[in-house]
Amino acid sequence: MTTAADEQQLILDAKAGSHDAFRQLVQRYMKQTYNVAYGFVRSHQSAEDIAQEAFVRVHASLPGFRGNAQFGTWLYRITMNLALNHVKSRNRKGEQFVEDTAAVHLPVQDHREAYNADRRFHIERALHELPTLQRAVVILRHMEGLSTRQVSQILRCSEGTVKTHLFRGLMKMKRKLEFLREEA
Amino acid sequence: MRHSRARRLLYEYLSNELSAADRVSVEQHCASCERCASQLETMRENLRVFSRPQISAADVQPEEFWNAFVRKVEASTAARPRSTRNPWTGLLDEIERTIQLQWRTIAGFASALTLLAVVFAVWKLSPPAPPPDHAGEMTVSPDNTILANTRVNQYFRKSKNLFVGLTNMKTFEGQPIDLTAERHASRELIQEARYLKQQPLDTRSSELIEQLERILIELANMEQQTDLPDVEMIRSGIHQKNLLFKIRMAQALYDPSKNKQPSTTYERTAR
Repeated sequence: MTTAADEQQLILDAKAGSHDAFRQLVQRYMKQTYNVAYGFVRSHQSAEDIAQEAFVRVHASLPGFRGNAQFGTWLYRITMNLALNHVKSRNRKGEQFVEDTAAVHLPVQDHREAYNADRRFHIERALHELPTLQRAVVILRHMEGLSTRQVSQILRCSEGTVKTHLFRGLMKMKRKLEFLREEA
Repeated sequence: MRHSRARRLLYEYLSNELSAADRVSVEQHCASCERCASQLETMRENLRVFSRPQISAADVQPEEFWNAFVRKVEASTAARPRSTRNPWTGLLDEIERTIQLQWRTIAGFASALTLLAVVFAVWKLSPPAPPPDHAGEMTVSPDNTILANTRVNQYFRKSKNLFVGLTNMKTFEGQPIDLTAERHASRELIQEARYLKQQPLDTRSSELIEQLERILIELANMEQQTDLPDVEMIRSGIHQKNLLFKIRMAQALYDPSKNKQPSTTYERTAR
């Protein structure tokens, strides 16, 4: 059973230098952090690197963490900034972005699984084509299920702005993914 | 439930994140409001096509990957040790901050008292002022004032034309709307607002310019080919803030064609 009080205790212990407490925080947040990073970079290798770097930075800055924001909000903000920097530097260097199509080419057990993998691939690609802020809102609010308030804290904007970008982002995604519905 | 609140809760409604009472309120509102019902349907359609994926990117990775992940993080944190903090550091920081704060307060009071004493002394020692010379009070030349007033008037007129055009624009559901001209005009008006905000205007006009600027920024940031909900959002912003009415009222104040100019910038400054 994990509660906010447990988490608060873990943060305090980790601040005091407990490796075990920090490990538990990593285990608690690693998958979601990985998903947030992956949503921006669309590469498993880069997502892993970014998520790890985010935890390392959190660990380094933990003594100064005053708890004004939730731990998760703070962590996702760091992750998002790292991911955006990564995408920027990739674009600046003019590196050819290789789509991570591993999921599509996995040996599939049945038809349904193949369909889901293909669907996820198309969703990720459509998501990648959204403007940055809309992409961030769709990833954090819709894909990761964070609350509107949390997303507004991560992006440092109003809740109204989050809702507007979510609506616009979903509209664009719908247009791009209309063919999936027809296939289904 | 109010229209604006209901619109904000549509996503939460469809994602089953609302309380029972709010759900009922949204349903009741949508039953009586065509716009919200249509928007709810659009969003439902969006979510049907783009539902939250059941398997995330992290779920693809095996258990061993996550064990290795934790080990790598631990190795990296050990290699990059954080600055250790003395447990007394926090307390010392707090004491230091308190002392600094007190010194600042004392210094502030002392400065304020000195300033008051100087002002009082100057006032007492200075010779009686000559009778006020109307021309001598001018801080802003009337030419500049007239120019500023004309620009304020032009700004309001252009904003009004833009908003009226946007409100009356014929739009059709599902068809893209070309906002190239509107975006261009709004950018020019944002530039103009920057100049006007530096002028000594009355409070109400300054507030109105700020309200207009917010809508203009939204408009300027829109895409060239946008869709109906975006335009509707701008329209509702104009409507909710009653901007067209406020502009008409402000225009009456700054219209140079009227004989009676209630209070020019020059007069307001001189007062």
